[in-house]
Amino acid sequence: MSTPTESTDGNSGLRTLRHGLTLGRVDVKRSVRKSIDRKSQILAYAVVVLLFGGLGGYGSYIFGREVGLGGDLPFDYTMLEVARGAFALLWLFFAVIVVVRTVGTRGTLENDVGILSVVPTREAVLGVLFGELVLALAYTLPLLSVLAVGYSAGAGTYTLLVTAPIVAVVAAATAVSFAYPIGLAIRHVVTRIPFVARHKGPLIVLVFLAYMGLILSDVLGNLAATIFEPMQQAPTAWFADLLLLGSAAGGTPLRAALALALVPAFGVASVLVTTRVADHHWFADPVLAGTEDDDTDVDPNTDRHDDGFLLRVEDALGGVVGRGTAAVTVLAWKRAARAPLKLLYVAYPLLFAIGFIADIVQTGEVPAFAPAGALLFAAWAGAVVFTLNPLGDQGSALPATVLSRVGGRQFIGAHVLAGAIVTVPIGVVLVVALALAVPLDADQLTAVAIGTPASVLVGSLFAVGIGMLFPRYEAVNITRSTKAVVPSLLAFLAYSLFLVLVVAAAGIVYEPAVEPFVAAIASWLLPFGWSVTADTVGLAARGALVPLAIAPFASVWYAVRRFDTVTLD
Amino acid sequence: MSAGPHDTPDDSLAIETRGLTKRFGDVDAVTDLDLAIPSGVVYGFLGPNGSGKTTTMRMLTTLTRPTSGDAFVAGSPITDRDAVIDHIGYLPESPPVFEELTARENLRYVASLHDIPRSEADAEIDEYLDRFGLADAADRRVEGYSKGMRQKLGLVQAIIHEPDVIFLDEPTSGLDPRAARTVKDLIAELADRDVTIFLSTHILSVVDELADRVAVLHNGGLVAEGSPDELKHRAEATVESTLEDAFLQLTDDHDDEPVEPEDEVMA
Repeated sequence: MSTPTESTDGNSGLRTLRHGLTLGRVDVKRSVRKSIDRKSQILAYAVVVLLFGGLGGYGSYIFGREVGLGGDLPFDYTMLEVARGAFALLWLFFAVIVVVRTVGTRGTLENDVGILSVVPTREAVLGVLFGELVLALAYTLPLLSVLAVGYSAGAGTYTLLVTAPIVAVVAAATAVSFAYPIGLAIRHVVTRIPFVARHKGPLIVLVFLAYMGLILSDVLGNLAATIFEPMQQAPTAWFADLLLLGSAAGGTPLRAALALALVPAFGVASVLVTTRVADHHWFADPVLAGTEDDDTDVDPNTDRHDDGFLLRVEDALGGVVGRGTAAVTVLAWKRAARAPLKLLYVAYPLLFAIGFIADIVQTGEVPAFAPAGALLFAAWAGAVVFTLNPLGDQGSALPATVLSRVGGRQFIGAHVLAGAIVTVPIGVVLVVALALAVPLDADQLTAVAIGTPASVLVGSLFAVGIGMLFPRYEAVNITRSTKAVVPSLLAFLAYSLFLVLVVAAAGIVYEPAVEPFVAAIASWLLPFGWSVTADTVGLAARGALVPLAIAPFASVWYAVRRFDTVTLD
Repeated sequence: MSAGPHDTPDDSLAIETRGLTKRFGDVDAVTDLDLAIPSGVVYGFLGPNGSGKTTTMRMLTTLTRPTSGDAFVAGSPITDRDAVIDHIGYLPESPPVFEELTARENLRYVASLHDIPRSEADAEIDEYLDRFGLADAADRRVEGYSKGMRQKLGLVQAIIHEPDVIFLDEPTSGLDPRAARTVKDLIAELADRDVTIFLSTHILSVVDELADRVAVLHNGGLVAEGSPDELKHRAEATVESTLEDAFLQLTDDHDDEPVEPEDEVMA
């Protein structure tokens, strides 16, 4: 047997710490490598740090300069009180982010068998907490340091350059220690309580809508303003004293010392509590269908009933379009219906509409552009769900489909059909209902009623080629335990750009009055002093409509050929 | 599950279970399992898909809590995780390796968690990598490895700290004949060093070749236990019977009369 160093140092506390650090170090190393492999993640990180760092740094410079010049603060509190309230609120915000991350992804161990069959739970917990702390510092340390540099440069006082990194570590450590066990406990409820686990999809949607509602209704803003003053007395406000220690604002030394003492206090308590929670969660049995905990309103044979219905639909459809096409069509429906979280992607554009929806609810008036907006959304959503990634949507069944007697025409036709059958009725009902509510006149009503199926169909025809050109086969994590194959980013962008161009060109042709406006914007955007006239804009729009009208058919032609020659490299 | 004063382990046994039961909701995964596995044996654990083999292994490695019954591994109750995991190595069916790390990094990481001094660990890692033909790929990320390479890496991870009891779930799965031979040689070598091997596999020839004792699990219950030869002879009264014949007979759901473990085939 190999000689463990345990026998020499004999200190289980040190061993726990050493193992925790090892686990945390490997966790961070893996996260960094994964991030480096995903260029978009690096880009997002750079944008966050540069944008918030740049804006924050400049803002703190201006603020510091005002303070340095002895100017009046633009609020009724002293500098220290403002910092205390702000820090307490930011800490709370950060803790909520850690809770959400824990519920979503960090609450499970990757390679849990490899870790839990080797080390005790408390060491695994320590490793996760270390890893999460380092990842948190990747954001808090540069951002707070930039703010400190900006403020110091403005105010001409440099103590913050020393205290800011310390505060970043202290605040992140306490937030992670505080929030992780809470997130883990919530995750246990979400994934291990049968009722909650089985209705996770709808519950996630409800929570998300509630969250968006809170933001849009200003409830969160009002709440923050209300608790700003009481939070100045919270222990987490002591971080401000530590930050401003030795500066003109005058952080209290006792509170600064207490802020430092929070780290071991929170850390030890967190390891103890998290270990208890993790012992429950990480070793708990998964929730299975058809067990004694089944809720009575859940029919374990639901899928079978669905199958019976869909089989009849498939038979009926097969009589019209052929068995192969019908089979692929029904498969597309099944895969979409059984990956409901994937459908959340479709809801993204609705986020932009929440404000309008709130207005409609409050005023009872539907804006005139609503039917056209709904028409566009129907075309976009139908394509995203059914035609923007036909190869990837096949999943592991792709080789069987490719090697079957289904040809490109049937395969592509089936996906367009799957989208059209579902999206056209829903889209038409939605658009016509909105058009009646506006109300649009009879001609306009007829136009949008006919335009909806046409748009859905044309959109799907174009999307299917884009999807074949930029497929995505691998599933992406929605949560740690939930993956879904969604269209690739390039496919999303290309298809969205197509819709934007169509709308822009059609809009200009339909309403020539906008030509001067578009020409002015285009001239402003063009380099080297180039400019365009309103006539040129009109001409370009009419000219663009021709290739845009041809594009869907070219797209289908490409898609069919692509499927007929597809290889599984 | 309780470990009261009467639930003390038999010191001569590496693994002992008494009425070990696991229920997932209404599903009985393992029912009333009694095992007594002496130290230093290779114990073949057979059963059809879904018979409860992996659940049993997960309970014995402390990763899943039993519904009832007692179990001891290397003298410690499985309720005492910290004590048990110090003595075991586990290779599950999907090797527990980190994709983003290289093979050497994975092994150094595991060695570090087992408190093996760095120099000693590095020497052992080099030796194992060489033995399993992974030396050339040692510094490549695991994400580019084949199934067989991952399997070999997972096996080295399970044994690098030289545990007293090793649980292997399909250790030769995905391996080419040469690599499978290396694994079988290693298992035999470990057994010679008095290490207990709990070996679950569908490849009956591996069990036939290596196992000192064989247990057959079916529908969560033990239906047979004995040496490979005993099982072969009990399956059919013919000299030509193989372990496969025994397995098929013991796990045949269409038998009119169920096999009575106590009377028929229990050793």
